[in-house]
Amino acid sequence: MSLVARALEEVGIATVVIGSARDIVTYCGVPRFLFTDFPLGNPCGRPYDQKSQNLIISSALSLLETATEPGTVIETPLVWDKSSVWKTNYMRVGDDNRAGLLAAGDARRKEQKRQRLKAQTPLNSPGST
Amino acid sequence: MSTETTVHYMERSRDYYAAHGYNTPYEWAHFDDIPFAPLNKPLAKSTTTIITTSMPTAKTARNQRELHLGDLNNPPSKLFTDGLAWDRDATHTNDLGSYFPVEELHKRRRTGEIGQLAQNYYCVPTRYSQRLTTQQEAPAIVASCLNDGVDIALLVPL
Amino acid sequence: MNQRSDILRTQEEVEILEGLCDWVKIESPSYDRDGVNRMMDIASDAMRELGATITRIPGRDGLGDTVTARMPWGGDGPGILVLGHLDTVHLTGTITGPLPVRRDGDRLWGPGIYDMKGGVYIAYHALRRIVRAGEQTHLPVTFMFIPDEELGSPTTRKYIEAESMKNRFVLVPEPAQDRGNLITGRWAFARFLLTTKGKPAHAGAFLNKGSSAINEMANQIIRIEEMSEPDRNVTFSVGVINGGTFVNVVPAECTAQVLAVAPTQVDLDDVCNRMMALKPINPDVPFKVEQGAIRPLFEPSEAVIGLYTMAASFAKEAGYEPGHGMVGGGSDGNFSGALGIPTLDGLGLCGEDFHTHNEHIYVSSVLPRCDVFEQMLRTLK
Repeated sequence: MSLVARALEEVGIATVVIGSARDIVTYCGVPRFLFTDFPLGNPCGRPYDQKSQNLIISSALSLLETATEPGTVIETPLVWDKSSVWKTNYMRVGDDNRAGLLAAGDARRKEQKRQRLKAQTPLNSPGST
Repeated sequence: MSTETTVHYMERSRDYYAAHGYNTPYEWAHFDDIPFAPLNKPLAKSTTTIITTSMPTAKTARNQRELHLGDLNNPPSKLFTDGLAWDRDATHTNDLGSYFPVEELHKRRRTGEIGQLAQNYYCVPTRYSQRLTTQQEAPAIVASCLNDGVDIALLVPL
Repeated sequence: MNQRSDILRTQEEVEILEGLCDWVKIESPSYDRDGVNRMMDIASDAMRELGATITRIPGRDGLGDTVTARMPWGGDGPGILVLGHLDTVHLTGTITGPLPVRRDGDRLWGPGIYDMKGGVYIAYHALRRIVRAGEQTHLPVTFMFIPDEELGSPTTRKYIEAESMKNRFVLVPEPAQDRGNLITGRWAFARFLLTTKGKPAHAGAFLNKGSSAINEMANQIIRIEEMSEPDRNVTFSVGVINGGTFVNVVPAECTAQVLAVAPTQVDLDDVCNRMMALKPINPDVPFKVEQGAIRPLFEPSEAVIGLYTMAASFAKEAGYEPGHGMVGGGSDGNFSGALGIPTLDGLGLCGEDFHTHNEHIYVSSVLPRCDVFEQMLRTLK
């Protein structure tokens, strides 16, 4: 997505990336970034909450009007919840789930290999009749 | 950047996929220079589009393979986010407005705060290959936006 | 005051000092972009917790980022801008060397504690008090944290001016003057970069075949500093010099930085003209003068005095009576003041010896100065 933003900006179209993965976007380097510290999935506001959705788009438009330096970031003050447990839990790896994650990875690789072999072997290969 | 309080997704996903046995870490895109196109028209005269990582159908969302265009002036009531790594424990994507702000934009178009909306919006596939994004989707979106007279693009990755 | 409110005040002072020491312990000399950006992180965190919208502008020329934090009160119109720099003059390692954080009675030492992390912190705490009380100010409040003030704000002057023009009042918690005095004007500052280019040769065997860049610079410096007229408050001083490579090589290049101070516009114009007209003393050694960052003249207007009068009345309630005046040190208040935006400076803590290894604040000034800042935020309309 950041790659698309850069390509558009290079032809003169002003862009704002509106998102919640701050490190990924700032590492890539985008012209304007409107950041909200929410779980991934709701970059434009809390579901069914008009106030936060309104604030985010207002802030994005303000960023378009006021930014003069590439890489300007505006962060909204929105807070998802008091506990921030979601920050710890997302893609969590711990001693309690490590074995399970590896097993899931093995299963996925097996399935991917199966799909690849299935795609390679034609129905009427020489010597099959 | 607040390093204490935001999630470090690059590190988190690297560790998560390493725990799955994928030991070649993904190389995130990085550039030292950043292009910058100043807004050269007032917002009220600008044409705006949306570029999303959601997709028009559950299947296209699961596959995340192709660029899809939609009609921003007759938008869908629902888009699909199946193949994307958003946080399914913390939230949901049942409300379109939480990730595809078409209604917010129409509201502001009606009040005159912004100009018209572009003909097309764009569903960009999220994939491993940066090369494909750079060589296929990005040029296609750029060409279409230039044809549409787009002045502003809001990119809303989930 | 009764015992309970005394205890609460003491607890509050402890909270402020702990927070301030956290800020001071992050060393942030202007040239250390990472250090300055860590300060920007901690300041952003603090303001974010109060509900501010944070804008972060990436730094240029290897310097730190600029952060603006705007409270969601009072609408979109002009309000109060609080200007504070988070960079200091103290090199990294100062805190483990000549100026550790330490307390002795009423004095608290630390790099940048007086100039001006102490002032920024009590301004922030004043806002925090209002938020904790569940209240709001009449006017919108924006804090702007600057990364390069100690260098003359070369990369941020335009942001400061742009933000100032969007506001009605500018408050600058730079160090208080003697006796807690506030600042209603600042002289102009001009910086110049001098470069000399010599001709290298062996300094022992063939000294007369070379032309020394350092020798030329030394002569220029003497001439420049002699241009000072201290009784008229026009001064020239060289604060930085670099030159040469090996002692047995006639130096090929030398650079130096000049700081010139001028109390009036006429003097500032004269200073610049004289510096830019300087010619080589040794005709064999090219000599170049480049003008650097300027801090324009900030003169007191009626509106500025009005701000002082308001602050002085709050100070009286807090137990002291500050005077005011125009001073010979520069700050970002020069920019807003020069644009005619009512600016009150020197609202920070009382202390001594900023820019030295004896820099410290007086702890007894913390709460009273915070009280005045809080009343300014609450009262301005």
